[in-house]
Amino acid sequence: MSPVRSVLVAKLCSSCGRELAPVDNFCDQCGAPAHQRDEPRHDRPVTRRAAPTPAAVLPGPDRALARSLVRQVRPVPVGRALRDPDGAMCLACGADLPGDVLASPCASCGTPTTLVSDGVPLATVTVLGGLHRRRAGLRKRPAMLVARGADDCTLLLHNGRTLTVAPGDLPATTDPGPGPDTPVLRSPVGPILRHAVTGDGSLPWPADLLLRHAFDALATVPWARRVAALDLLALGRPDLLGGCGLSRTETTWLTLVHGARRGDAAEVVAAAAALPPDRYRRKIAIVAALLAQLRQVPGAAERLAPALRAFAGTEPLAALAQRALGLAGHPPRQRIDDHVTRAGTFPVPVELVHLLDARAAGSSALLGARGRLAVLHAAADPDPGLAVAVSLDDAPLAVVDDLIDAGKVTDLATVSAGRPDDQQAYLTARIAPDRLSDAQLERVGHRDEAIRRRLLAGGTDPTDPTDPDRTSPMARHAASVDHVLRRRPQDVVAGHVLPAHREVARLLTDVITRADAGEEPAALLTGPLLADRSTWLPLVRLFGAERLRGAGGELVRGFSDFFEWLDLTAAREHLFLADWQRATDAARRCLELATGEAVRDEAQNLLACGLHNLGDHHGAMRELEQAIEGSYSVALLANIGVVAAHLDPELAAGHLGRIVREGPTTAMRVNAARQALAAWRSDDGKLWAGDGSDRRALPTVLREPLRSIVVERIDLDDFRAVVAALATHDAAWLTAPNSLRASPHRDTLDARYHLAVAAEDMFLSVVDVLATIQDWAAAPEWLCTARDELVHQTIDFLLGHIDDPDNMAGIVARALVTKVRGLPERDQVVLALLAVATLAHHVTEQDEELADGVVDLFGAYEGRVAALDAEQREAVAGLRELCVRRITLNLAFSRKREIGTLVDLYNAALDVLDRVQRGSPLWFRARGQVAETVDACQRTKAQLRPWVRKLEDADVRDMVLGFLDHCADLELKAQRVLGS
Amino acid sequence: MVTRNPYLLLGVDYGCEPDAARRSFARAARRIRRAGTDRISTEDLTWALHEIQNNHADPSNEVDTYRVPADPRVFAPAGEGFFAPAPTPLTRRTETTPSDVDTLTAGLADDVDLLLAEVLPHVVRFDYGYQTPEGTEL
Ligand SMILES: [Zn+2]
Ligand SMILES: [Zn+2]
Repeated sequence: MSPVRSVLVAKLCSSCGRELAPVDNFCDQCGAPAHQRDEPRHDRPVTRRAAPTPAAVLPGPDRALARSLVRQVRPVPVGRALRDPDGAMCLACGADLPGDVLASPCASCGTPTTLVSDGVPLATVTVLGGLHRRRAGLRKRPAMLVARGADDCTLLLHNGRTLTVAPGDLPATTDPGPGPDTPVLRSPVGPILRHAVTGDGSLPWPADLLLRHAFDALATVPWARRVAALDLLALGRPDLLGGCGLSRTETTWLTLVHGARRGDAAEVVAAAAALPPDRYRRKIAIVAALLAQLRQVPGAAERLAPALRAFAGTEPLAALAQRALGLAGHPPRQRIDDHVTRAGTFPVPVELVHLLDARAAGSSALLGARGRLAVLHAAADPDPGLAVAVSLDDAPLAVVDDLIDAGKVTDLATVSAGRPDDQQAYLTARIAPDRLSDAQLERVGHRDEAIRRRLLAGGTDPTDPTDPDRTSPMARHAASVDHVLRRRPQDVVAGHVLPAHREVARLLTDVITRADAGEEPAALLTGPLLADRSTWLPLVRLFGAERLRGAGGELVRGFSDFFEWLDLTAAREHLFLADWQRATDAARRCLELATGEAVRDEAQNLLACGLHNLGDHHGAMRELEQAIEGSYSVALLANIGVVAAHLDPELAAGHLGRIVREGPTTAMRVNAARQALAAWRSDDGKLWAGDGSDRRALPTVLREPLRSIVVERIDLDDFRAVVAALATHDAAWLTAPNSLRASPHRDTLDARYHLAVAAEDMFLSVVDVLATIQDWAAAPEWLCTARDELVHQTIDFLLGHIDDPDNMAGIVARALVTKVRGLPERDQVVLALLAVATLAHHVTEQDEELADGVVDLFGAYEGRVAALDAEQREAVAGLRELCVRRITLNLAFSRKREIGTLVDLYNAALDVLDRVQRGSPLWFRARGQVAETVDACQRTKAQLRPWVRKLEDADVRDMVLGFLDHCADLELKAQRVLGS
Repeated sequence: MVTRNPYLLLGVDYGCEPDAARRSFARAARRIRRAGTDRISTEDLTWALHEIQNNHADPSNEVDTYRVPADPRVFAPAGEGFFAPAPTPLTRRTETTPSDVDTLTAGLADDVDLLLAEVLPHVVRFDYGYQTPEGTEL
């Protein structure tokens, strides 16, 4: 493949998409010039006006859409855009030709206008450039036919020389002919030109040599010059045109057209400027068709100026081009007119033509943001979609005002987007004054709106006496409203009321006048008056709800919404006065009339309020439950909770549980949960109740909501309240693994404490949690309270159950005193003594001996009794005595059991000593048994003696001393046996 | 026993701002005087106001005070009319100048300029101008 070809392959028409022949420079389907792919396309022309920068970011017109419209247009010769569309032109000198002598030579230069003159024997013309293979030496070499005379032919040999041969001696042709992609060439020298221009190096001749032979041959057939020139243009080589022997101007003209076909604006400018200014009229049409593209060529305006000037008087397009290129003033209106001229001159798609009549509002889809704005502004009846498709950001404020006045824009957001604050306020006042903020209202100074707002807010005198605008329509209207509200109908001037409301004003003044004359207001109400809903509240204010009741049946039927509203308002007024009975009556009357859900729900809410206050909580609950059916209402739900608290705890838990489930906020759900718990745990727990009644399970309706809310993001206080309830009433769930995993409070002291409360061994678990507190001064108050509660209830329980053989409370007391830091001294002593007394008693009952630890505990705290103040000492004196007695008894019984066992063994040993030989193993073993008895007796004595001294109880002392005597006796006997 | 409801006593919507409650005091006093009721005293109103001003919890989350109204919109009849005229738009304060119109027209002209530049080269044929023997122009 040749290098030239490779550049040109696969060129597509940028207009219709058809594949172009590689060397073709315009599309033979749609006539569009073929652009090189890497050439910049028509970019936006640089406008001479200093364009504001925001315009650059606005969306431009839809050029792709415009191009798609072109497909329906059949292209016409550009010359038809001239004033005389049929006018002809001499191509050699550029002179105008009279239209009816097309076939005649030019009157100015004598050149014919035709491509080929008549009379040329085209059928006999020999086409040159054929390839032949000629033997030269040993090889066959290529040779080209470059000339043909009447009797001879000239061959160009492979070495560049020529050889003349007779036609009959021509070697056989080997020319494969042009490839499938080469353009059709018409001239006799076409094949030579083709080989020269598209040669791929397979032939031995340089391009220059071939061109020279082609042009030499052409000189002998002058009629073929123009055809050869077209061949060169078809081959894409206008630069070679000079060899064709045409006039310089004709060559330039051809170059100009060629440039236009290719879309080569620089070539068009250069060629057009090189032509004689006052000749070649058609160049004007070409320039006018490509104005935007030419404007981008540097110096284009100046270079084209002479030509345009020459034709400005006769060709409107020339004058137009002068303006468009900046050679004459070009105000915007003139630019539109010029566009209209061009659109009317060239076969432009109608959609584009319509755009130019802004008033007609053509296909605005083609336009960019600025164009659309112009259309919206100018059109009498713009497309409704246009207002949302424009961008008003940088439109002059006055233009926006025009659009507002014409009703073409109504959306505040569209209008005020991107504008400074003061303009936003102004435009809000222009479009939607009710949406002005107070600050904006002040800023923009919209007095009527300020007056209107004071009026709506119920200001007593909505007009400001210092306001210079007291005579504005709104100010006068406000004054009229004020007169009515002050019951001064005689002061109302009909003409001062806004026209739309004059009839209502007349009706109102009439009602007031006649009511003041003694008629019943209810009988004076009329349909037109009630149809103005703004009168409802003022009517109630003027006459009271009661006096408006009892109007005619027809009016009530026609305006039932007013009368049900009246009853509703009356019911609320009665509630305000704590007149519960009349409130319920009015609410019931409203319910008889009302059918709308909103009014019925509210009436039932007011009715329930009345019933609730009358003590009928069940009745109130029925109304609320009916009202909340259907549409959801937080207020009704909350009211159900309020009333529920007055029902029995089981029912209350159910209703409040619903709020815990459905409440809109966590805070409300928590409040309901706490309220439900308060109702549920009306008597709060005695820790040592013992019969398990404090651990009754929560009802399901409450349990599930509490389980869910306890793990949510709630306050620690709320968490504690809920987890405490769960610990008591839902312990199995709470202590299950992971129950609190999702709670943000899962690792807090609060969580640990209540998990301990819920644990199987609640008391010891709680003590373990209390034992973790290093510094009670820094501990939370609730925990201190819980600790004190546990301590005191433990003490109280033990004091009340001191003779109970169960040791559980004793173990807790011992754990409290040994593990928990910082208990008051007296509590420690009491707890320790109670623990010792209880445990000693329990162990003794089990016929077991007291562990050393318990005795040590007593030892540790016995001495601290003395440090207590007198009153406390007094209080614990009995406890101390009890401990001594119970310890002594336990130890005594323990030793008795031991000695009792030893005595049997001792007696058996005596027998053995009697019978066996002294010094035998049996004898020694028996003596050991006797020695052990002595030891036991001595140990018993040593252990019990100190306790006997502390004992105050005479009976116990006698018992112990008797036992000790018995031991002394036994010991003596045993000593003797050993000593014998 | 049902607890007293400070909002009902003052005749204001449940959950109203302390400021609004304070402003309603005189109206409430007038109401009980006009009704001649002995169910409510001025001391009750004082208590109610104190209650509202010192309750720092968010009323919208409470479930211990009865809410009246449940739906405030029901009590306020909506609609324009004699007592509630529609807002009047501000009259314009600008004047459109020829330069404003020129700005718009220039915007349209720029757009059309680009569109024509796109279209024109495709709707004309650039002929060299030669007449062929067959009578067509090349
Ligand atoms: Zn095409
Ligand atoms: Zn001529």
